[in-house]
Amino acid sequence: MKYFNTLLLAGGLFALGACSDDTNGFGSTDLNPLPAAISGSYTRLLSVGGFLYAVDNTSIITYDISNKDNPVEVNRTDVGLAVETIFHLDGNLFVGSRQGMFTYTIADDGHPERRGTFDYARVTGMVEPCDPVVANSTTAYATLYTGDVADRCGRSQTLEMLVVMDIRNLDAPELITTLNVRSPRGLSLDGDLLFVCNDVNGFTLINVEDPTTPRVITTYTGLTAWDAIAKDGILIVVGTKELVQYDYSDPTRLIELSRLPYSRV
Amino acid sequence: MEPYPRRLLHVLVGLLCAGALTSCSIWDAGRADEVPAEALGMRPVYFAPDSANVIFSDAPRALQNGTGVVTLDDLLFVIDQGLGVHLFDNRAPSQPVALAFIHIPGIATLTATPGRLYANNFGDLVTIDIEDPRNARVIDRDAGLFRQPLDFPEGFIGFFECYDPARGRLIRWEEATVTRPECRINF
Repeated sequence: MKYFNTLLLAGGLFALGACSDDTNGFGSTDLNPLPAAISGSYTRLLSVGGFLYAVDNTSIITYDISNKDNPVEVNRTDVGLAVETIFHLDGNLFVGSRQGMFTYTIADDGHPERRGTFDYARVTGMVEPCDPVVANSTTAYATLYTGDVADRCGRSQTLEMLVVMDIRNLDAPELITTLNVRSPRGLSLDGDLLFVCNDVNGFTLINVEDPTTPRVITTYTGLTAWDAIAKDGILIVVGTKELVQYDYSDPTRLIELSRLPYSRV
Repeated sequence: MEPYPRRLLHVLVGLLCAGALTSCSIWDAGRADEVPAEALGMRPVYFAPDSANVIFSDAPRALQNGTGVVTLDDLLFVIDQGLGVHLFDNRAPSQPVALAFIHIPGIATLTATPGRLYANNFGDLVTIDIEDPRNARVIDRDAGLFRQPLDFPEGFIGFFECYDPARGRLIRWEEATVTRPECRINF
């Protein structure tokens, strides 16, 4: 109900300001006043405004869902190889692939338009990692993880890295720094706090107030963490067999709120 | 049982290797003396053909392989890779209430708008009415969202149990001790 109140209030303000130009902006809040889904970083499917954005292995597929019961494919845009994840912020899309991060801006017609690329070979050499990405308006964070793989010369190597990128210019993302993080998987960003899942090793809480020097606050073990959503002081962590939620109002001391081992098999 | 069409596998592996500029070979399945009695490798996880498109609400249940999370207002969705989605009322994060488990075979990803769940059912995009999560209904289906998993374990090197389409849809590959594996990828 609170959303409808907000909507009514917003409508009233627009009505009062007769010159308000409220038709051109694409933000999801403009076109979609209903509650919007928030996705973990591994997602391949997003709803933004009146559109669905899906990534398969090579492309972004756009569906018009102005009729919510009948998605209509309206665009298919080639991205590259081994695309795995998609993230949305303020009308921009960040696509994670094993090759790199690709930035897009959603045009007025809803179609994604390519902006820039950050090639992970700049920080990894030739190894192709897995790669969810999250971002705020200035900085993007991606986890790169390969497990124990053989490179092309047959040498075994493991890549476990958080990559921090400057995205103030979406046309040319730049490397800020990297940080070694144990078995990094999904990640979630809330303000200056970055939560990085570490699979069987729990999750790591990182202070990114200064993106040039991310500072590990602490690591929580005792759970398997694959992907997470951190919002409004509540962290939701999903692991292989469990769902665990924390209160992080005090980032130095998380409080476990609930843990569902799904005991009823 | 008819063995996996090995020629196709050769082609696929050949393409994969050509792309990676590495030299690859694939084990010759005809030489039974080289098939180990048992090996640590990969095997396909199947979904029975007659239930691959059957989507329905069921009682809450244990998570098998949680790989994803989505929230929509107070609703919490947890993806059980390949199997379905667990729905919770998360108004009180200290006490999430399990509402239902929706079987969505082949699921890897989802999103939602109020009353609607969009997810992949293997390669299809399905639109599901979840106004009442305990009575989910498919209202639309669009083919061509995702390609199907490769019929060999991508990136894996070693013995694996050959994929047999007659046994159903391929959900994913899993590590296993396989008996007399007739397929192998070599680098």
